[in-house]
Amino acid sequence: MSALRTLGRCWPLPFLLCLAACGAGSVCKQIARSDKTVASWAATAAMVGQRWAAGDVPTSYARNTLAKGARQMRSEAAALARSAGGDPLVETTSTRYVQLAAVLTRMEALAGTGNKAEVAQLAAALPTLERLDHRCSARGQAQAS
Amino acid sequence: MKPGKLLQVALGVLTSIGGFLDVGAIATAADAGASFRFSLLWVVLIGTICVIFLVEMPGRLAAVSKHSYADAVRERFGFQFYIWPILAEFVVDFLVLGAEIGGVCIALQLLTGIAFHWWAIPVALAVWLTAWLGTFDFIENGVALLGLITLAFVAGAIVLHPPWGEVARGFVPAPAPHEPAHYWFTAVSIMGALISPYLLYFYSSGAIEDGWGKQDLTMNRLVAGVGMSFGSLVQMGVLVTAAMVLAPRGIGVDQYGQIALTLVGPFGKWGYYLFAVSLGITCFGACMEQALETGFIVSQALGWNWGQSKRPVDATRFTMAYTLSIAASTVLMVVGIDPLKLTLFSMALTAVMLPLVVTPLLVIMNDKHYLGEHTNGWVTNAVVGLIIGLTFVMAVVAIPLEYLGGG
Repeated sequence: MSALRTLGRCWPLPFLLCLAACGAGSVCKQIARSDKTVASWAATAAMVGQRWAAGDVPTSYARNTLAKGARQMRSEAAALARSAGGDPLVETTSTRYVQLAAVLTRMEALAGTGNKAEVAQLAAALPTLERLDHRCSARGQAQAS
Repeated sequence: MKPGKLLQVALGVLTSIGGFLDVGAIATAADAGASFRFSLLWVVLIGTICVIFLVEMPGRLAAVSKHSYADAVRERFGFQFYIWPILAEFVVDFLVLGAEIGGVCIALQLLTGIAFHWWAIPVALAVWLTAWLGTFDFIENGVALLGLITLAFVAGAIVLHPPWGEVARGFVPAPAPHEPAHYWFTAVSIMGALISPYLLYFYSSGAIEDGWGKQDLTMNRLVAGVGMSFGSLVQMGVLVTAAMVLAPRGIGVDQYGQIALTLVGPFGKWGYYLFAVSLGITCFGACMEQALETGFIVSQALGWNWGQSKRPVDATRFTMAYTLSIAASTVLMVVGIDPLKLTLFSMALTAVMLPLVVTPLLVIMNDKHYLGEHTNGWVTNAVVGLIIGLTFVMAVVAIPLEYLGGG
């Protein structure tokens, strides 16, 4: 009987565990969606930067595209923070997006001054996003321990 | 075939190739290549087969019966029925024309650096002026021949040396490799861009304008079959270049500027300008066709005098219809709606209204009153039946897929 009573007191535990798991899954899904957009714009910026430095695309196009990319990244960061603010993984991810956006803004400014060498350097070194599944599985391991 | 006729067929085939691409075909093919590499080539192939049949039939109808498709539907089913597909077509035309104007504006933005929405009114004026001053032949042949520049996509695909085995496997229907909702949404959008209902109305009205008769049936078959097949090669070129340039880098298609990179990959600086000019010319040609088609269907619905070869003063209400249509669609770009989002939404909406437009074709093409001995054979009927089935499925899934996978 006491075992049953103990079980009775613990009934919310599986429910809460389920809820936490579902919540984590949903955050991971949101990050996955945002990561896809941000990674696409980071890759676009890298190619545009390299091609602009090589003289293949005009300055106006390069600046427009880099500015658009930076805007998209900031907007993804803001959307993530709005939907799941307070979650450490979300905060780390948003910060990373904002840092990437800053790189794109810097590239845009450098393109405006015609600094091909530095734009090419930034384009080549444009940080790539960590793989999402690594981050989510790392989080799972941390929660388990 | 006499030399004059041969020249006419050659011109027809060339204009079909040059006029095949439009803003929807470019956007959907680039998205397909960037997101799923060669996996959606089979959709372009199936869509092309559908288009060949759907273009040949209204051409045959016009040549034999001297009725445009819209005319025949109104006469055969009555105004009460006819009004629904026409209203649906009217809404889609409004959006697609807005997207095509947007395509020209983006091309001008790429060439000049001036933001696209500033170009909306000058582009609309240029479209209107060309429609006002140009003859049907000039619009049909001149603009479409300039559109042969889009063969740059085919050249680009060859220069990039794609893995031909993988390309060939793309022609075999397969389940989604990843992101199933996005995969099927892109498939439906490609079909929506290819099986454009406006083709049925425009092609048959054009055949009436050109005064086709029974002697032109062979030409009609050749233009539909050969022209559309070669035309679809251009769309496949867009898909393959996107698969080779954008997909390996993880670049998705969120705006037209990213699609420009598909030709920068193989051709460098020239590729950038080739893309901008290709986009501008194909979308300008499509603007003309879309605006005139609105004029055709409204005039044919209401029994007004119509014809692009007539002077505007001899077909004032027809002229007024396409003028208002250009003006209304331009507003979409003036207010700064994203042309790519508008394009993808229009393609999904096109898929929704396809059954309304395509189903009457089966009845009319089997009506001896219109076609005499030239009614459909069983093969054509079977294919049209399959197309109608396909359009019903697309109509049901298009909007849910837009929500789930349209981005």
